[in-house]
Amino acid sequence: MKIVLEGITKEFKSKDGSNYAVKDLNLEIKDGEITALLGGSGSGKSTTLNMIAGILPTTSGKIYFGDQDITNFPMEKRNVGYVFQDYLLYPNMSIFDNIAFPLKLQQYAGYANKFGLDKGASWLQNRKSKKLDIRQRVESIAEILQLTPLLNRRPSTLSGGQQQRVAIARALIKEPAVLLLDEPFSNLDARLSLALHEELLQIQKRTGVTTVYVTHNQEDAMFVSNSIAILKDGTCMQNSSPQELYTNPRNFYVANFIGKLPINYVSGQIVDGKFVSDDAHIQIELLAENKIDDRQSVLVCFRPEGAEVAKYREEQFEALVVNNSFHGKDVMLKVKAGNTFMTVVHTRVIDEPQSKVGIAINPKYIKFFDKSTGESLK
Amino acid sequence: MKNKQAIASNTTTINVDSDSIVQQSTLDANRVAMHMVIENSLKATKDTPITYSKLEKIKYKVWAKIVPWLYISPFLIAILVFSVYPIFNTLFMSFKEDYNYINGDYSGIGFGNYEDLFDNRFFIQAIGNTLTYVVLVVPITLAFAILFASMLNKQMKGKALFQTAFFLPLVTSSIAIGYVWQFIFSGNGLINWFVGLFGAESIPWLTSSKYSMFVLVSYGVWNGIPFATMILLSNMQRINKRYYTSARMDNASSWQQFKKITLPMMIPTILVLAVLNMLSSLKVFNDVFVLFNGEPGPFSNLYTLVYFVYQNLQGGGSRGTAAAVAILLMMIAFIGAIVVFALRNFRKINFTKIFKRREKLNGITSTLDTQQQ
Ligand SMILES: Nc1ncnc2c1ncn2[C@@H]1O[C@H](COP(=O)(O)OP(=O)(O)O)[C@@H](O)[C@H]1O
Ligand SMILES: [Mg+2]
Repeated sequence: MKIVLEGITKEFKSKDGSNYAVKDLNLEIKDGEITALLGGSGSGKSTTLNMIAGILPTTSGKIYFGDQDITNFPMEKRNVGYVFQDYLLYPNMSIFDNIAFPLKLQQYAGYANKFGLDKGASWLQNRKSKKLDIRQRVESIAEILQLTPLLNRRPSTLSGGQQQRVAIARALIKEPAVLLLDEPFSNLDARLSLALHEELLQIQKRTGVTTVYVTHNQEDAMFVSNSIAILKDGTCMQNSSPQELYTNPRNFYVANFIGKLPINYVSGQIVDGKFVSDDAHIQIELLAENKIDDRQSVLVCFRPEGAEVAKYREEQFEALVVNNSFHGKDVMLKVKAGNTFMTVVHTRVIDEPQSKVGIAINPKYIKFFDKSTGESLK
Repeated sequence: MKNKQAIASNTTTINVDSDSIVQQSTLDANRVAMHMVIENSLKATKDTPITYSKLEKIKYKVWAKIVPWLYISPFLIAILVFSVYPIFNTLFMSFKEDYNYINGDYSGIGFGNYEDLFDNRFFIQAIGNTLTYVVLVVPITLAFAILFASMLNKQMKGKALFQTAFFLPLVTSSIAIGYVWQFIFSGNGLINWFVGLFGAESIPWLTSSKYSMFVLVSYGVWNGIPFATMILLSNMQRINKRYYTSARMDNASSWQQFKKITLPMMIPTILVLAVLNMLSSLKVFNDVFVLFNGEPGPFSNLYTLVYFVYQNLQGGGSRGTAAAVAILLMMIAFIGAIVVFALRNFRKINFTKIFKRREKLNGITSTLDTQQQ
């Protein structure tokens, strides 16, 4: 089901004033996709998710599930599956009972209606068939999440990863309209987290449930989602596919936030159709498609893999090697060009201290940002 | 490398996967390296030996044995003098027939005191009353305590006032409370005034054998509620609130949340409270004494075990009999505690297995049903 957030705002009032955890946030989460809410700590991710779930009321704005305005629906009417960071399994119940919990509640809720209306089937028979139905559904979801051998155990005897799988099973078994996960795997180690992310992807594909996934880890977000919304101070900076975010960041914040390695940026000005860095060391010819006013202060950004290292040539600029770091296949060179430090990808380690190299930036990979507003310039 | 492989073959690698063996062997190699480091450091200390004389060694050993006892001695002595000695003394006393406390004479050793007890009408009555009291007071107290704790746990108006009023009995002398209750239940007391408002007859709460047990039990319940509530409340407040959020998203009603989350998580505390309350209820005496002006009920119908002991220690009573009752009381308390804690283990029985077995049977009978049709 599609989720639309229309200018939602959350204001927390306290004795010393009020702060906006989420401010006029507009977001559309497409049906059947995984959307990640990505942002630093305190950027309003959890608050947003809690408003979607109905745990927190909105201060203003509207939330739609599909075409229905559910802004004022209580959480129990929204049919959301929610997975908490700390699993929150019921310690006194077996894994089976934990997963069956939402179904059992529905079962009892059903009786009240059925009791008077369904005169054909006896109450007891109903109960029996429902019990069997619950068993089948729990077993099938346990099969998908590889929990079958654990069904009789207690949560305290399971590892963190297993517990989180149980929590996901519990959230999915009631066939929720949307699945919400708040940093579900951040308590787990990196390997396990990766495995569970893969599993989550598989399950989401199988069930097609619209999923909102909150994380502060951009790699996880990139890996798992069809679309990423970057939050900062309770507003959405950009909501687009991972590739688009990486190659076409809308502003400098996004450009700087996204990417395993920090993006390189050089501060400077446009002079006569040419970029000149503040220390005049780096000069880059603008392409025809770059329509930027003369004399404008800009930031030039490029990813470490967007530059080439070679023997110094005319069209390049010179840089001093500061540091090498070896990353599997590639070597990251930290270099100093003029007064600017930058990281570039190279194929081999350059050991000689203070050696000089030439750096050529591929013009296709260069992004220009307005220095004062941080907005992307075309 | 040879060394590594030898170690690897020592450990049982169930998985005959070359990768895992390599991993295993590197792990073992690490372990060997660690041992070598430790051994070397041990050797280093061996190089500069510190020698002790034989006498010094013995001295040290003896001292090491004595010190712990010295630490616990204050408490140990208190327990021995005030707990262990009286218990054994009482036990011996209960077997001394026709025991004369003044000069220590007795006619024989045996079960005479116990045999006499079961011919004593008042003792039989006392056992009956005490057990009735316990069976009523413990569950009722706990039920109310759970109710009040859940109420106090919720945000409600005037909570602080209610809370203070509620814990008043904990800090008030039980004798004072007893007199207040006497006033409340007396012939022209508060309750009868209230009853009178509805035009009903006054009820002889304290002066009829019909109502005296009811008054005693209410008094016991009222006295027990604050402590139990306080403990349960602190337990309840420790339950992670987000369990309830999660359950609500799964459409659980407040009652279901209580039944499925609050109650199960409080079971261990409830059981401990049940034992504590049971032990104190078995000793019920003060309450009777205060409510009925030192009499065992209006028509001597409210004898309790401890009241019976008390009376036997008074003037003309028999100390041997009193001791025998005390020992029986102790045994009852012991059995009671075991029963309650057995209830706790009862929860650990694997119900899913039983459930499965039953389901299989159900399956067989239902197929039979369809065949008959
Ligand atoms: N219950 C609350 N009361 C007051 N402020 C809150 C509350 N919950 C969150 N906040 C504030 O709202 C902001 C966003 O919080 P949150 O959504 O939890 O961030 P995130 O999940 O992205 O780390 C933070 O500045 C936080 O301090
Ligand atoms: Mg958060």
